[in-house]
Amino acid sequence: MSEQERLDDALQVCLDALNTGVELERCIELFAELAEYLRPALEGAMAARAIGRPAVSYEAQQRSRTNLLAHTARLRKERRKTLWFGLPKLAAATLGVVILFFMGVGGLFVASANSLPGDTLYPFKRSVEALSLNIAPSSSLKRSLELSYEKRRQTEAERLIMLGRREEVTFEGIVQALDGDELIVDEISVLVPKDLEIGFQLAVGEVVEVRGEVQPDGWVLGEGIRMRAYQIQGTVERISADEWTISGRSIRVTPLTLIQPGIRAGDSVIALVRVDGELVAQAILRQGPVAEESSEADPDPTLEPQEPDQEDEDDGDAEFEQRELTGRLEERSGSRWVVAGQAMTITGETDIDDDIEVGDLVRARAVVTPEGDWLATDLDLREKADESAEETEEEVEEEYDSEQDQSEETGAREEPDDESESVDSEGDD
Amino acid sequence: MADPEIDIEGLKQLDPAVVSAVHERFFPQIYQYARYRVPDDQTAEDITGEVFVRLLEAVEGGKGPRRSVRGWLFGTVSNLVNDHYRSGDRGMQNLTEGIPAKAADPGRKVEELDRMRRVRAALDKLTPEQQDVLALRFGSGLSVAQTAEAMEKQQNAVKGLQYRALRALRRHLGAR
Repeated sequence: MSEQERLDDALQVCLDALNTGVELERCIELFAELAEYLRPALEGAMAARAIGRPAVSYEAQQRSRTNLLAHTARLRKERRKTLWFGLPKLAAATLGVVILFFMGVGGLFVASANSLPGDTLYPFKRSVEALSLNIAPSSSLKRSLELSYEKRRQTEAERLIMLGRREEVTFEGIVQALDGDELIVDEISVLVPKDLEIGFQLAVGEVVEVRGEVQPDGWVLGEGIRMRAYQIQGTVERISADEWTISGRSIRVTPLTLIQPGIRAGDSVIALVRVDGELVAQAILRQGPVAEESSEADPDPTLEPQEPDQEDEDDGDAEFEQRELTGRLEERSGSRWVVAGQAMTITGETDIDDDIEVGDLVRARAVVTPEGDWLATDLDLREKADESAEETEEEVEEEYDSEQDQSEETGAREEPDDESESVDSEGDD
Repeated sequence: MADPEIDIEGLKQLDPAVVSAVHERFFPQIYQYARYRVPDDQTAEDITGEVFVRLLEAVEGGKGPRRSVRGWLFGTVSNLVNDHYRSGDRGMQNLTEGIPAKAADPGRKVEELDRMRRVRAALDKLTPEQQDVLALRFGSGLSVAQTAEAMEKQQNAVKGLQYRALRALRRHLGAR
């Protein structure tokens, strides 16, 4: 290790120590031989800390989210326009040819593609869509088709408005503005009659489904409005593979649900849910502090906090607690693995033994972020699932303990070296 | 490093749920970065909002993040803050800092604000990269590994940069 690396590491240790309340002079004593170089950097750190970690205002975050969703709606609208105005050029050249060659069902399918509510071929178009959704081979493709069909419904409503045709439409979009009885949903004006029962409080930024009648003068008379997607804030009460309970509400999770790693029962979360007959989570994100870990809730008795050793210090931050546990791999879903009930994220830097499969006994080492996310650093195969009868978990732990002793004797891990600069080099100052 | 939990495809599709999820996840860190570097809440909020709008527009234009959404967002907020200072719009350079509102004693508060102003003046003298690393580490509270990802550098390079930034900060404070 070069002198500069030693100094950088010593600085990191001291910064971590300062974060835990250790005094500056005590830190410098720990690295007396580097004191001359460490002191100015640590005094600089004390100054940098004086500005403090800025507080994040909930109102600012909500304002930003609302603006962002409104912008999303505008972009979605522009995208639809591009598709719509681009289509006739393509269609003019190809549609006639296609119809000539593909008479029958194929021709009907093509011919129905641009049909609108009220057209003879429109029911056929909707039947093809329903069939496509039913036979979609994966949930991600199904969701992708659903999004595409949602955009189609908006486009149809816009075309009917452009044509001034009075027709029944149903479309989905983001509420961009509310003004008395009028709301703007993805840039379509919707009049909500005073006697229309909605059953929830409309708000900007929510995703709603509008059912109504297009009026010849360019707006939609609302006949029904229902919530399609919204946020739930609450406490996680129960977690299972396909259903979570958040503050008393059951929410289904699917392979497409974005789940922030490390969320446990007791955590406060924001769930972005979609109403599809039932509540389906699209994202579950932690909010606020991590729940206290109770001994009953701990899914694995081998879960132990790790004392940060020399090998781990190059990751460098006291806020990143080192943890490890040994247990069965219960789930392996993309980058989200669950070991002994603990979800963790596999990153590009995770070192994974080759042939680990669900059911195998593994030793997982991870860093835990301040938000409680487990980011796996190593996953070692301890025992294949089919060999489990011979060896108990206690034996595995004993073996691991002995390995730990050996690894502590071998010293620190080397990091890739991409910059070597001398201690005194401050050329960029 | 890729962001395994971010659905970049969903972002490209402008799926409101994915857009919301990305915003929920990264808004606090991006805001904290901006607020660390600019002296008032409103400018930080404006810059942070602009970062996410630019993310959508970049994704729409096929130029969005390919691997790390975090890295892209921090690169953009850094550029926007630098542009803000280059444009000469220094915002509200006054005593309404707000961040260190811990001191109940008015005299103490004035002292703290004065100290903070001096630290900000010293921060302004650092190179953009040095300001970046300190805002990421001390403002957004990122670890060395996360800072390396955000700055698209190796961890060792971040540690070295942090060391030089802190020494330079100390020197500029002492030079007053």
